[in-house]
Amino acid sequence: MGLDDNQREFVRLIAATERRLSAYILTMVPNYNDADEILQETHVRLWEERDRYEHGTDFAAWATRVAYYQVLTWRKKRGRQRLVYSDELVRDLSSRAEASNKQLGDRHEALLLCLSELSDRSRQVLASVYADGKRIKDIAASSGRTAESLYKLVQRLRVTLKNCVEQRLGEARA
Amino acid sequence: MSETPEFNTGGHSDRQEISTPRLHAASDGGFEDLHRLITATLEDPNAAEHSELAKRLAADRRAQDLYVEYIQDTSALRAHALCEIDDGTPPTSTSSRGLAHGTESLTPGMSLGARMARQAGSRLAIAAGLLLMIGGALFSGQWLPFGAAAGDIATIVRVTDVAWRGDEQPEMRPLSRISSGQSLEFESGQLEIVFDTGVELLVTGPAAMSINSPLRVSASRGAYTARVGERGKGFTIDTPATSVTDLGTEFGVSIQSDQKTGVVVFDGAVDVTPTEQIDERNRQSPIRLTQGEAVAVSRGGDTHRIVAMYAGEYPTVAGRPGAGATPECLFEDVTDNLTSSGSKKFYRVVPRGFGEDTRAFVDRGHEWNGVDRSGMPEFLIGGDYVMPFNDNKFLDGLEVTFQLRSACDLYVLFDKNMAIPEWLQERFDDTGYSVGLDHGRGPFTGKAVTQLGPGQGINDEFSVWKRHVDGACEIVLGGAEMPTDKQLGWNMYGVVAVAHPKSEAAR
Repeated sequence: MGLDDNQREFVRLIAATERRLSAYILTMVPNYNDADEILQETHVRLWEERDRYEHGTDFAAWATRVAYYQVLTWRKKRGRQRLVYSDELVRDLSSRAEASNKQLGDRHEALLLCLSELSDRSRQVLASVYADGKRIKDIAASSGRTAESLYKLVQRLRVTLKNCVEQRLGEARA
Repeated sequence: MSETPEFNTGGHSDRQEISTPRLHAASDGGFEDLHRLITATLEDPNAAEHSELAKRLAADRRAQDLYVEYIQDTSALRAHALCEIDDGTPPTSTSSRGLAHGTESLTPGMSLGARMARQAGSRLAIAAGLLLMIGGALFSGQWLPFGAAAGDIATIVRVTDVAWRGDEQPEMRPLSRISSGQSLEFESGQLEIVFDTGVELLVTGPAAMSINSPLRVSASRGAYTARVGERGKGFTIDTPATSVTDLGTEFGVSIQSDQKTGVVVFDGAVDVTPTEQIDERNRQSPIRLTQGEAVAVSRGGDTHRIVAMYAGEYPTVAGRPGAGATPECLFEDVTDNLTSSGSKKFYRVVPRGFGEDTRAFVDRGHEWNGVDRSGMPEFLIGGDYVMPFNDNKFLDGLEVTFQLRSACDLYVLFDKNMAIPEWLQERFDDTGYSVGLDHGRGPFTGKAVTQLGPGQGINDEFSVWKRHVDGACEIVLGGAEMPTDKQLGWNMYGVVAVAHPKSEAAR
């Protein structure tokens, strides 16, 4: 019912690259809603072009190219005036992000381990800040802390996580 | 001095907080500053910090690296956060993960904009876009972001008549996500799961299993077929009697009891480690099984050959014949005289399975097809057939015994390149029809790829020999003679049984 074998395989491939594409797009378009929309367009595009994909070839690389094209299309629609990142910066970020993607799995794994080392409380803080893209100000207000203290806490947690991740990755490479 | 959290323009922190040792030359100040700029930008694209961030990145390549990693982590945190918020429980619980924000079903004809408006605030799952393309909601609309949430490592792809055990078990729908540590138990039916690593697992109930990690499943009941690509190498199924680790392959595991597990290799190879040999003192090397081999393994490490394997005993991954319950089969059993020689090869019996593009041998990728576009002889299609192994075909004195259940027409498909043996000549009639063999992967054909459909990529031709069988009986067939003048293109024969129209009704 529904999907045939090839389609199912394709859906699976798309699912497997979603995390990577999501981070990749956010790098060039640092806005959750815009990045989500571009990701969605990318999925649609990938699906439309599924017959072009040759099984066994590097799906992630192809999907990344399609995502890049969607980013450029979005930038064009937006108009030069409203863009903050220059074309050159976007190109640089794109190649950096793509190169860095090779490590994404390891980094993600390290991050999850590092997250598990935080206290429940700390994790909850991160969850509330990153779940819906609400402003720290508003979250602080609704939870009865000052925006200042919440901001400092998040910053400290990000530093901790970053150091922990890098330590793990460093160990893994040793 | 305290930092103001209001994201005002210009000036960066002049606090140097050196707390933990770090690996990078960049000082904490650099990272903290980037954090400030990025956080502000993500909150509001119109913030002045956005331009400052752009300037910083354009000027400093090191900052670009930090930025890329920061965004990766942010993206992961965001995905992880979604699942924490969703049901309020940590990702490793067994609660159903099938809910996302916004539960309206998605219908065809909705514009992209409308759908996004409906799901505003929620992360769109990839399938939303796919729905439009496929023209209709596949399943009523509860989607999850794939691969995004921490702890989720697999997706349920198909649920066929599954009777879940107990009430505590939530109903898992197609496209529900499964997380690390989750258990599944059901009394009957079939479940197909796909791991994010690409491993496909087909489970036939009654089954009890838990998903331990992206590459490890432990099971106390059930029959499992795993198809594992490159990324899933090392995928392991732990059963009470033994552990089976694949090596990039398709294999089946059937838990027969606490003491015994059947293992069948359809493709590639696996390593089998009996449970009682896992202890250091006793350690022997794992048993390596390759394509076309099947053994029953006991806890203590004894193995014995499984000679005939009925499709249906081991679930087959989608697309292969024989999935589901075993219909009554004309072949009651298949045995040969090779067991004492140490062979572990098996015969696979596929009820009602013969047709275009069906696999011919257990140890090759070759497929049967019509020799030309007009297709295979009609009378063969849908017949019960036996997949033998292509190795050992020249064994002197080979005897394969087919036990037939009832009256039928028995067909032998014999390679035209080979001399016709006496046992075939004397007891069968050449029908004049032919069937083709399309080469797939194998030790002599390398990475050959099969084509789809009759008349495509046919490498060898087989003649169809027939013998009428009056009732239940045993038929013994022999081996084939090693050809003297050619090196390649020699194949074991195929065997197909077709019920008579009259006795069809009785089946």
